[in-house]
Amino acid sequence: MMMPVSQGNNHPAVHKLARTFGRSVIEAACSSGQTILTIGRNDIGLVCRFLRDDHDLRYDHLSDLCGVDYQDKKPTRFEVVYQLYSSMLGDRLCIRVGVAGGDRVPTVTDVWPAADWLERECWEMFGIYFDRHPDVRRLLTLDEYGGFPLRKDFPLRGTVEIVEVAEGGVTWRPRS
Amino acid sequence: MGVEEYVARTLITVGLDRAVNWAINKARKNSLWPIGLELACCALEMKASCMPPYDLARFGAELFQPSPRQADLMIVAGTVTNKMAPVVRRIYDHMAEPKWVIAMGACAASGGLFQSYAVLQGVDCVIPVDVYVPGCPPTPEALIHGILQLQKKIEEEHFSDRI
Repeated sequence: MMMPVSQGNNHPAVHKLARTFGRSVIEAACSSGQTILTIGRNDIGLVCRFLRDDHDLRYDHLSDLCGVDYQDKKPTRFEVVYQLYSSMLGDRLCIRVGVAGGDRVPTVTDVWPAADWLERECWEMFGIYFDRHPDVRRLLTLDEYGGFPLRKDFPLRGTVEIVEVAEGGVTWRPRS
Repeated sequence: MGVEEYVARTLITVGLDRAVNWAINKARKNSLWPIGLELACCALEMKASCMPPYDLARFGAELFQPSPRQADLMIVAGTVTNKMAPVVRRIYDHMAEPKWVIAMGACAASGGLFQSYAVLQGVDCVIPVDVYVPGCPPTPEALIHGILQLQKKIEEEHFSDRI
């Protein structure tokens, strides 16, 4: 039977990461029994690789990656949230990375291939660009769709609508 | 005008045209082979309408085709997203004439409750629709009613309009 992993500041990953990456670990918090780490943007790729490869942790599964738009509520407008799972420990770990508008985040596709579509979606919806991502294309909207729909300043019904679809492609018009 | 000429024109030409039209329309309306575009929850009601309690086969429309080339009727059942719109158009273009379209449910008719950046506000932006079936989702009875309405519409058409 797996032993429960201690949470918050006592979480084993916190000590290990603090020892290896020092100031990149900005904050460790605990909410509803889950540890939430805030990591510096530039080191996220290395931190993720460490969490996957460390023999005591083995966070081998990226279950979700998503963006958040805080608009004016936080000094850094966006955040990327990674949900990790260790099948060895049976433990979930949440990692948050603050991203200002225009910042680039290192990709984690080389750590977990599952991040491919998730990062594409995150770029498509929030405009957060992932450095060295192998295939940056829109995932859920049409290729020519402009704007980033899940940003708070994006109108709910979008800025354009489809008028006609023919052999040549899709004709759009601005939404009134 | 002699009697022979009158008989020939009414019985042979006009009468023949009417008889052929009647026969072809009868054949068309009683063997509507649908292709189901199962895009959302409406698809479940569409499938239910084929099951024994409702039995769409009574109206000759039970043979759902996997290929648009073998289908006469497209039932758009569910939410059409912008990304899906070119695909819907393509499938419609692949269908051979004569072809009809039923927009099933609020989403296919008008975007329904999804007034959003990602959803097409009615499939009639992309393809011509013959019958709209309202509901969210419509019951199998409503879909069958829609098919019966379409059969009435086919009966009133001239067969040569759709060749």
